[in-house]
Amino acid sequence: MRLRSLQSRIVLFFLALLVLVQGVTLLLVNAANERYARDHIRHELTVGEKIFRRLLEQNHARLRQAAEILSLDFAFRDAVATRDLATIESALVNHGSRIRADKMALVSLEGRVIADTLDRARAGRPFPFPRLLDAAERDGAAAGMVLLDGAAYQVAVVPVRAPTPIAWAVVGFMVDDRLAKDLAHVTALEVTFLRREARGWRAFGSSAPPALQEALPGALPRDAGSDRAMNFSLDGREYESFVLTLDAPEMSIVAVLARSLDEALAPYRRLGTLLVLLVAGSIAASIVGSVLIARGLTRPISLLSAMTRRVEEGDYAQAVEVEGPDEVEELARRFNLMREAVAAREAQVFKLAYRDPLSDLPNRALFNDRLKVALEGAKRGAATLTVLVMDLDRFKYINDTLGHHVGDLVLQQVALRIAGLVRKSDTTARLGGDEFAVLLVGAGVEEASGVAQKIVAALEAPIAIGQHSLDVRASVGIASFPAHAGDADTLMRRADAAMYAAKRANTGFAVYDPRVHERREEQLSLLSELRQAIDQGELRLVYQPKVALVGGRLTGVEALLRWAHPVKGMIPPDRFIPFAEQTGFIKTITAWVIDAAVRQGAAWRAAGRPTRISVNISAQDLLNPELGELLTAALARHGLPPGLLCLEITESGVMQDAARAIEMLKRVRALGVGRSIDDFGTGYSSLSYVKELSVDELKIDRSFLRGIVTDLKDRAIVLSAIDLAHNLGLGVVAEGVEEQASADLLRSLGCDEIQGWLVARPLEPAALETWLGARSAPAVSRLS
Amino acid sequence: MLAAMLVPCARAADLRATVHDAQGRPLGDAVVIVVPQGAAPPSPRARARLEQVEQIDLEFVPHVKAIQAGTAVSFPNRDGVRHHVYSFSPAKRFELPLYVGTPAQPVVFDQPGVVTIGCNIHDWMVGYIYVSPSPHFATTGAEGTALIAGLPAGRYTVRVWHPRLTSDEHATERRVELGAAALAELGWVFVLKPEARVRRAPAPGRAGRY
Repeated sequence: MRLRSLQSRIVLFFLALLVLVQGVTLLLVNAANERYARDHIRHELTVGEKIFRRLLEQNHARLRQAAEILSLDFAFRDAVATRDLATIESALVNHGSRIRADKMALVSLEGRVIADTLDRARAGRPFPFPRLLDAAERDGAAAGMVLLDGAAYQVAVVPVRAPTPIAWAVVGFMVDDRLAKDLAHVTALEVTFLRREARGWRAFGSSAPPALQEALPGALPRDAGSDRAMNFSLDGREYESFVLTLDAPEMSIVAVLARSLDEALAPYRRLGTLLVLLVAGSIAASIVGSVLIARGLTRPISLLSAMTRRVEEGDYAQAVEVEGPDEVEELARRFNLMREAVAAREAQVFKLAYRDPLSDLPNRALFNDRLKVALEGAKRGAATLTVLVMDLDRFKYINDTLGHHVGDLVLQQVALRIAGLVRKSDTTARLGGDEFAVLLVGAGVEEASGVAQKIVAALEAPIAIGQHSLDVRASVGIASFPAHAGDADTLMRRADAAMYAAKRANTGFAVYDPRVHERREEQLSLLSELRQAIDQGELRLVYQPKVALVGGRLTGVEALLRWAHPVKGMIPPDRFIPFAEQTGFIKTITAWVIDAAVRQGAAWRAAGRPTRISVNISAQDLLNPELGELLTAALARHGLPPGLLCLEITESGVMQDAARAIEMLKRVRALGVGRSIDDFGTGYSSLSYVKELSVDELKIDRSFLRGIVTDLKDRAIVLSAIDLAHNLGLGVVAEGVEEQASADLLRSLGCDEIQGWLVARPLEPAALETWLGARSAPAVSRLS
Repeated sequence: MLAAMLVPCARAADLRATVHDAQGRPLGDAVVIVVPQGAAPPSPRARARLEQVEQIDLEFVPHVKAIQAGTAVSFPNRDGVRHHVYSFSPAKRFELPLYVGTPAQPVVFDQPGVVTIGCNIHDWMVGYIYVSPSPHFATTGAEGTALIAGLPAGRYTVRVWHPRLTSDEHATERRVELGAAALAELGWVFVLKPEARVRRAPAPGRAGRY
């Protein structure tokens, strides 16, 4: 049995110990008790026996003396000397009664009974106890116990001196209960006299209760033998006794001195019982005591363990009050301190985990947490909530220019300004970097817009950091549940999208518009499909011809990328190219485009129709150091002379990193590949850069051509561009020509080539060949 | 003690008796009785002399007195205290109640036999009077001898009696023939009964148990 409980262990241990100790003590004491008792009784018996013998002797002596005095009576002697039987008898009776003798006899010196007061018939017969006579002769007088006619007598034999012994006087006193009781009184033993009869023993004088008297004859063995100790039981009670033979050598009278063991043992047994009670009492007391003590120990422990469970569950609130031994109270006090420390650390951890250290606003984790909780609440309660996501415009610029410490201070200021604008139940958080978010629980788009407006307004005032006065603007995106999204992630994404929309549109804040941003999302998913597209050959090039305004001959084609999506159908490049640029995937696309275009060009050349193909590349592609190798490899692979390939880069694309762009263009020129500036007029180029650009032609952006016929300013710009190009030795192509009138005008303005729907839409290679066949003039490369 | 002297006529024989006890010690107070054989016991003559047994210092003196039958004995009390002399012996029962001095009448012992006398108030006082049928007797003295002189020649039966004799006196008889002017020497050795005297009580006034 394994005891786990402290209480049980304590109680059982002390109990076992106590039981063991007490039990052993009890056994030892009881054993000693019993032994002592029996020894004591035996001792009592021994002493009793000695006293008995002495009393008996004294009794005999007394009888003897009485007999002696009687025998010295003159008249008695006179009577005896008469030898007259009647006289003797009456004298015996008389004198016998004087001393209350039960029997008197006169015995001659020869041992013959002269007269006997009890039995006349005995006269003349020998005295039945000659040993007494011998003893009397020897010692002057004798006494003893004899059994005579079924009765026991204490007899004294004395000489009748007249003046010399003339006869023996025998004086007998009957032994009966009186003597027994007398002796019993002094010896404190039960005295019983028994005489031997034909059938056994028979008690004839006793101080003992009748039951004992009846039992004794049966207990005695037939031959009494010498004096000895004897044990017997009566009614389940034990007696220790001593058997004395009183009339040696006849051995027909015994005295049994008995002591009830039970009686003698009674005080010892009482002691034993008392001990047992004491043991039981102390066991009970110890059980109670140890239970109490154990409880006093285990209860505080249980309380403490309950408290630790609460702490485990996160309830730090309740201190534990424990009363008990000092050690336990000290433990409880320590527990409480620990609980407080744990609570403090947890708060600290929470703070670290959930608070942004810089602004002391909740951080992204906490914001997300609260958003999720609020959403669940809103879902359950069919309520609304709105998130605002904002970031600071051109914060990177401040960080780069003034340093991060200033940037941090700015963020802190911003946090302060916007935090004060919301209710306590709403959450303002810094998501990271320069991005903040606000959760408005229970608010709809209108209320949120109001808040957004306040935020924007709050940031209009410049922020003063040191000696700097900084204009910090923010863009805020608003998305609402359940209007715009049903889960936290989507909500945040859409708020984000709204923010970007606001940023691009520079409107301060914007509410998520699914129409506008659907496309963006579409684009995100499309991106992953793009990768597949290249592998699965869903990308293809179509070609839009460029013709000379004078003569109408084909001067080249522009390769345009199309994506034949198996599901969505033809997807135009402006739906996926921007994201490809953002993700860097453009390189892969451009590589494919170049390869495909070069292949096509080689194919046409091989078919006898060498046609210069222009390929659009992005700024990333131009700045890619591997561009040269790419071109060389593609040209070599397909065996196309570089003059039949031309790269088109938008003006703004070049201007992103003008210096490097110029460098790369030089390298491309060194390879022999043609270069064009696309969408000229819409970029940030300065005229000085234009001078540096190592290109062959400029392509005027279509926006300028829309109003060319009607708007004189547009016409002027186009003319300027044409002149500029010609003066720098560059060719000019006008893109997006849709009307004959525009073409005619452009011709008159001196433009070299046109491209657009007026000429042809972008065509598949086969369709282009067909179109070419329909025209007569073969395409000639400008640069041959 | 010498026996009474007979009148000297013809030459008489003497008999000397010597008595010892079993240990060889001479035994006094033994009465030697010489009885002529065959002849009829002589009639007891009245003795002219008066015998006496005195009480001196609470004792009978002599302890053993031998007299011839028919002799009167007086019992003078020489003590300061009275004595009550008595005897229950079949040979003579008599009683002299408490008296001092000498009782007026002596006691005549005319039956042969042993008369044991005692004092009623002094249990230890014991005396013996041997009443002899024959005129010829003597008591041994402390040296254990008795001399009976003046015995005519003839056959005699001689016996001895002592208070502590274990056997009957007749069992001690010896026949002897005495010639004239002879000295017969006879010796007896007796096993005696142990002395069974009652302890003499100490005199009053002195320490001791009663």
